[in-house]
Amino acid sequence: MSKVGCLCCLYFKPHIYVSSAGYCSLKGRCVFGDGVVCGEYRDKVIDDLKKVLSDVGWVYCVTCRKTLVDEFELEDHFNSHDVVADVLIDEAVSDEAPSAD
Amino acid sequence: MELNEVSLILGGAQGSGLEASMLILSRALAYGGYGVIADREYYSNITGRHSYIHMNVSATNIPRSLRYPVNLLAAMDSESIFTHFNDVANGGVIIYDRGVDGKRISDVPSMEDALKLRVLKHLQDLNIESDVASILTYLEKERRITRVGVDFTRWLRMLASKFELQPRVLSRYVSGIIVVTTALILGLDLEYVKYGFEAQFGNRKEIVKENLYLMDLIKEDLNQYGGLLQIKKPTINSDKVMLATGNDFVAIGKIVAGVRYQSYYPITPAADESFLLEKFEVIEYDGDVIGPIIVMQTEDEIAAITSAMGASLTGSRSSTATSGPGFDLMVEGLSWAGMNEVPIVITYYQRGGPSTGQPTRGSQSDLFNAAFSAHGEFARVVLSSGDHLEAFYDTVNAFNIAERYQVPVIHLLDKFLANSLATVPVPDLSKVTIDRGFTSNGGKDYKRFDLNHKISPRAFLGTLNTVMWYSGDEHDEYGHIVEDPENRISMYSKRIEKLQIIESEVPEEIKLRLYGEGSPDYLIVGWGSVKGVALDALDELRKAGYRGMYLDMKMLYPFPKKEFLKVISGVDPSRVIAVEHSYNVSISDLISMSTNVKIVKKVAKFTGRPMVLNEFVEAIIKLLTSKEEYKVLRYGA
Amino acid sequence: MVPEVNSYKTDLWVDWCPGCGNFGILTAVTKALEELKLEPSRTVIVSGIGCSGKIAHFVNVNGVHTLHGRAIPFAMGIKLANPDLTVIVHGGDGDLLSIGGAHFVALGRRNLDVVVVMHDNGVYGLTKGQASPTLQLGVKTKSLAKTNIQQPVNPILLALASGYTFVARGYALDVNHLKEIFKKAITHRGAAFVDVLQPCVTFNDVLTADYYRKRIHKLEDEGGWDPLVKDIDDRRSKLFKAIEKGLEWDSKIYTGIFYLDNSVMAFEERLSERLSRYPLRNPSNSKIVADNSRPIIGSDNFEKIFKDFVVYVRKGG
Ligand SMILES: Cc1ncc(C[n+]2csc(CCOP(=O)(O)OP(=O)(O)O)c2C)c(N)n1
Ligand code: SF4
Ligand SMILES: [Zn+2]
Repeated sequence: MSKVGCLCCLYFKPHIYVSSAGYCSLKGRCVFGDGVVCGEYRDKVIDDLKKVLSDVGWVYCVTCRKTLVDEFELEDHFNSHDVVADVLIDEAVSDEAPSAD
Repeated sequence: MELNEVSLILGGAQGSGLEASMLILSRALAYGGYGVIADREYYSNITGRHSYIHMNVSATNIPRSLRYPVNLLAAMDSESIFTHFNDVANGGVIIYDRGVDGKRISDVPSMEDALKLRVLKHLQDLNIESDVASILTYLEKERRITRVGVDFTRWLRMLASKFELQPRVLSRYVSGIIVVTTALILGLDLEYVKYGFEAQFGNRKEIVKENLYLMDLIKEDLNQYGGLLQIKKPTINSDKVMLATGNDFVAIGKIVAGVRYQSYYPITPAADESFLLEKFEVIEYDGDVIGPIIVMQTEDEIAAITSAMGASLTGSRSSTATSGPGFDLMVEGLSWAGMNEVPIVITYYQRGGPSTGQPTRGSQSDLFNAAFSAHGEFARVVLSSGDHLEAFYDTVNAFNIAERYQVPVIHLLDKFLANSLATVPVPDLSKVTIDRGFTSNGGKDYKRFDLNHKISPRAFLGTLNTVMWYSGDEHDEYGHIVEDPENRISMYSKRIEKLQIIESEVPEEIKLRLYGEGSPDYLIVGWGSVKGVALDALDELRKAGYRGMYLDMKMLYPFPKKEFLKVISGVDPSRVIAVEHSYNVSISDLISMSTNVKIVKKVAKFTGRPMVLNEFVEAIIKLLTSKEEYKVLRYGA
Repeated sequence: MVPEVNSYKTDLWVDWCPGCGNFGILTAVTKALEELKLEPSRTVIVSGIGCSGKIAHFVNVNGVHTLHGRAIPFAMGIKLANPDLTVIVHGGDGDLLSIGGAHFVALGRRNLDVVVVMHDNGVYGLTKGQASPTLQLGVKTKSLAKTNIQQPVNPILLALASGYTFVARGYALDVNHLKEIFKKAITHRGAAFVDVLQPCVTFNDVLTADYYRKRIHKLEDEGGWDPLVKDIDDRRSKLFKAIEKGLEWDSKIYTGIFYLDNSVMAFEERLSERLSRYPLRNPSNSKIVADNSRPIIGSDNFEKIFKDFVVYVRKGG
């Protein structure tokens, strides 16, 4: 992991665009991911993400802005990138999505 | 020095709140009395790719065109800086999130390789590193560009300490930060911004409240930058304006015109028009309802046009809206409308082709498709509109012409006009009339295609004691199939000779409009959305000593030869320049085939981005002062 | 109202080949209209292109002879804009199931109150006998150079899958039986489909009158046949039964009503939930112009109606 902070915590779900902010599934509210962590911090290890991968079907690399769907991919990104279990999609995405093609 | 006019870019990832920022800021500016035009540039993508809003704000008039370089760049992410830093004027301002200082181009996965390479090369030439901080430092030193680094996270955290924030709406605060910071730098009264928030989030009181709190924080923190690009107090004299896109104005025009059936198959940049119509399906007014307007999402564009024709036969004003690919599918239907003299309006928003092309980018390359597609010979009308307000009036004109002459009318617009947001005077409804053309109450021996009239009076399907037939095959006066050669001559001529009636009866102001000074030493000829940039160019060129005029060809088919020739007669042919967002500048071909007048000087742009004033003026001067005949414009990311 | 016109046939000379099944369909439909006393001016036949498409000219009610494959969407526009009209689509099997397949499916999904009559002759008649989408695999009709290597689509099953709430099959040369089916289809509220087996004497030497005579069985002759869906729970079993009968072809070909479901909302009803006063107030009869050629939206109400787009500039400053 390149950083410390909520982004490395298992309970944290970063916002799609403001990745320093997001949702803490433990506290059930909005938190900010950079800087200090709280006492409940739980370091995210690769096995946690593998479990999510097998339960949910995907995890997300914040660095590459890429959805990862298999274990090899996960292993590739995990060490040097910020990989998270879930992303928080802002309401603006569906609101503002232009029709295209 | 206070500015009369400010150009700016708001950049960020598609779906990250740019639209909201544009709307809040535009509402604030409109409320403050400023004129605004905002072009939206976006990818064919739902979220994640780089999008930007290119705005021009004026204190003195309603702006008609866009400008580069811009005075201000508000960058929601690093990609916006890499993409647009070169578009910022000397002495300008860049607002950005300090959190991206260390980002390098190579860290931005969403950027296209070609652009990355181009920017890298440019940075190399300037001998600077490819990270945000280095670029900003360079701009500060070499080009007096102020960097206003703001700390999004810090403000968000402060906000969160005061309010229970919903993480799903964080973009609403990021939009707030962008808008408030921009407003501060322009030295706007923050009351305007408050109005903007209220208008945007009206029914969501808590978001308004939180943004106002944020506004106070920002005001305090960024005090030093207040009025850095001070815009003048507005002097546009109007107590109200409309703030809407071209799509909106067409939809509103259709409602006023009395459309009762609109069909569509979703496609960019047309679909927004139908969404808006759907909101107005039934208008409750004065204890009564206006409408209903049936808005049908059909299974394809073929069903869109054919069902609209079916509805039209019952006497309902009917229309459909599409862009190139959908129009291509409609063409057989168009031919049926020609054969059966069906009034129908097709709103055709051009985008970049061929094929899927650049579906979210602008273009004017479908002029010939609109004017000449479909088999067989028949009368149709193609109208274009130069700006938002014209689009409104022309929409009504389109229905009136369709019904009066019983022809399909293609209202040819484009993505630039459709998607740009602008402050526009409220239309003058006293100028609007409804003409339903020649109608009949039918009766026992009713003949739908009665040859005693050049335009046979129309009875509608369902008229009591009246039966009628329609057929795509050649038909007699009753509408029954006949292949008799004499009947063929009568019916064929009747259908096609309507073109002459149209040419002689349609008022001149619907056909073309001429702007600028008399006895000009050059003439620009164009149509549709190039009007704004052309008119602004006339003003700029006047300052440089050129007396010019702009001829806006509004009715493209049938081509108004007589009126065109009258305009062109006094002008030296080598001083006429045709302009269009296409490669071929087809308007010049249309003119030469219709009138034999050859226009050899052309300005073309086919990047999918709109022509902006500076490049346009340069090109005109070049064409007027050299032997060059063809200039291709390429500005804009 | 009783129509003034006695005959529902126009006096045009009918130019189908002698012995063509279309004559039976024409007679059945005009008789049905007559017996239902449908007023010609309030009735519209919308047809496609093909031999079958010409029928619009032979019936003395409004006729809209459209484009190849597009009769259904034309009919939809007519019906939605003026829901008072009785709208009947006639098309060939190529027209409705090949080039117009998307519209055929869409109409079922909408359950719009329109009748679709398919002239099912297994060939493209008017283009001289090519295989149509209902022609069986491995069959070689007269003007095919080789046997057909495409599978047929089963119109009954396709209609059921698409959501038609009245699905029937008739035989062109059993005019009285066909007429009764038409009458029920017309009075049904919702999308009705009638597959009419129509011998094409000129190009289809396989699906001949003789072929059909040997195989046709009427569903109503099967003991206890009842296609009517009683309630939502009954729907599944009625559908299965209809599919089972619809699958029969080689030795037995069923005619009659396969499926009838009155429990599904017609599209007009779905629309009326969104549009107050529809269908009473509809596109064809709602006002759009005030007395003085002005639109009904004028200077007095424009800003109120479009208030979301109007910005009142702040005072003073
Ligand atoms: C003739 C034509 N009409 C409309 C469009 C616009 N268009 C592009 S994608 C699309 C629909 C996409 O839906 P779907 O096929 O379900 O694909 P998804 O995006 O869900 O994967 C439409 C209508 C087009 N490209 N061409
Ligand atoms: S289907 Fe399209 S819109 Fe839906 S999640 Fe995938 S990319 Fe996004
Ligand atoms: Zn990665």
